[in-house]
Amino acid sequence: MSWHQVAQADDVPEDEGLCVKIDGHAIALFRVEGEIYAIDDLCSHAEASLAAGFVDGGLIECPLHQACFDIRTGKVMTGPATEDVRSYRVKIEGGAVLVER
Amino acid sequence: MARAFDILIVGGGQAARRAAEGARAVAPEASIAIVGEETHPPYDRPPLSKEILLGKADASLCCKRDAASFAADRIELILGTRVAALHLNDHKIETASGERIGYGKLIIATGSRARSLPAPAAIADKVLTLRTIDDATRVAAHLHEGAHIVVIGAGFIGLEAASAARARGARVTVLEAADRVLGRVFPIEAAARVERLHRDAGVDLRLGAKLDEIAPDGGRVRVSVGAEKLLADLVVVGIGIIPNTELARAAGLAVDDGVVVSAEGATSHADVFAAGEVTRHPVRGASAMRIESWQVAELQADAAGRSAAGAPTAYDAIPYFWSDQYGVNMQMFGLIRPDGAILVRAAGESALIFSIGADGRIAGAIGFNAGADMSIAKRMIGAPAPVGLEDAATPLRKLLRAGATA
Repeated sequence: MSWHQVAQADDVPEDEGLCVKIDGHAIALFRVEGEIYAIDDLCSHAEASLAAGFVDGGLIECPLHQACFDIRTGKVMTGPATEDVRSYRVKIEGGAVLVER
Repeated sequence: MARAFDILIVGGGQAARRAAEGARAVAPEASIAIVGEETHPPYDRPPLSKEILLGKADASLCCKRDAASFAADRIELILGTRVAALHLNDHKIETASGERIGYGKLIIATGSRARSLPAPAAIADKVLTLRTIDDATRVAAHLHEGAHIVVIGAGFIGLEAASAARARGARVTVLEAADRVLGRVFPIEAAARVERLHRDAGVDLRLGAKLDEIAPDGGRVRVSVGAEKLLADLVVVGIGIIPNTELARAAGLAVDDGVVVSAEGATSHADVFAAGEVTRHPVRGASAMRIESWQVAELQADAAGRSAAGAPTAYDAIPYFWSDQYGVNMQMFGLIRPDGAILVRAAGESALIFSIGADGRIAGAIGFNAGADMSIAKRMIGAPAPVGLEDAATPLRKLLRAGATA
């Protein structure tokens, strides 16, 4: 586990996600009430990018089949997904977003 | 001593699982059992006509829980058991082998069965419906390069089977009696897109095709359509499903296409509930309907299970459905109003097709690779159609916000 700089905090929008890669692994960044969170970008149900989904408060809706995840924890809230997605620790240093993986 | 359970669920599919889970969530101490005819523990069906046929996954993808997980949650599975009768006044069910099982509350979750076509015994293993894990496994075994698959019926199951068969290199002919695909569900503007998808993928799609005969022909199946004879290695029959309402009807419950239930899943008889796509339930913005979908099996059943366990819970979701064909994602929210207008918002391969009711409100939306716009469209259901909805250059999110502040 180590910290990776993946984006500038200003690049993470308010109402949609930003997909970044760490060693080829896709991670979705979201901003909820000013805080930035990181979860796996790949939906646990099908081959969909969660960063391309719809953000509603602290929830992200998968663009393919409407599965819903808690952005802060990666926990699945409604199906058809049944497994949580992984969430990652995030810290901001000098305006840069660092994700621990 | 006869067996008895606080909550007994007849039927062993996804709706049975969800009803049991809903009941368990509100009644930690209740004894709960599921009586299912299949020998598999309850499973979800969407992957059967998609990942399983594509060979991307095995049946375990459908199984959200295994037998051990049900046991850990103290949900007893009584499988391979057909129920012959419901004795509502005695609070008992009777199995085909004559066993009587008592209940406090009964939940009917008998689902549906595939409508089949009669075929001679010699080719019974090559004329298959697609409803169960066993069906999907049998169909998948026939999908390979060089095989000729004839699909009868251009509904979602038939078209998903066609999509999978093409992906695996088979030659595919789809026969549909109507003059268009998806006649029961999609308006023509959406159906035409689906037809184009299949034809572009090399499917020989024949509309207005009247099937005359299915017969053995030297180890293959001869499908006669008028003067033409098609030779198939496999015939997939996708001509709809029949709700399994016989037990409910025989027991005297109100049945109107489906088992009639309230929003809470209560039937016409005290202590009897019904769950999943066997039900005819209230639908937002419409009269009651029987809806064949994953969503009903998932969420209406959960509500019915909670209600049966003593926590009345209404099901009031906007109807939702999805399909995936040739890598194109299709989703539908709400209902398509035959008496209303259709509005198409398209940009390249992405499209949203809205149904606008006579009252000017958005009744339903169908998306093709619409992505997050589908979530926005869901939030517009029931609202007046905004000006400029068909203009794909105006972000949908902007129209949603404008509607919210109007």
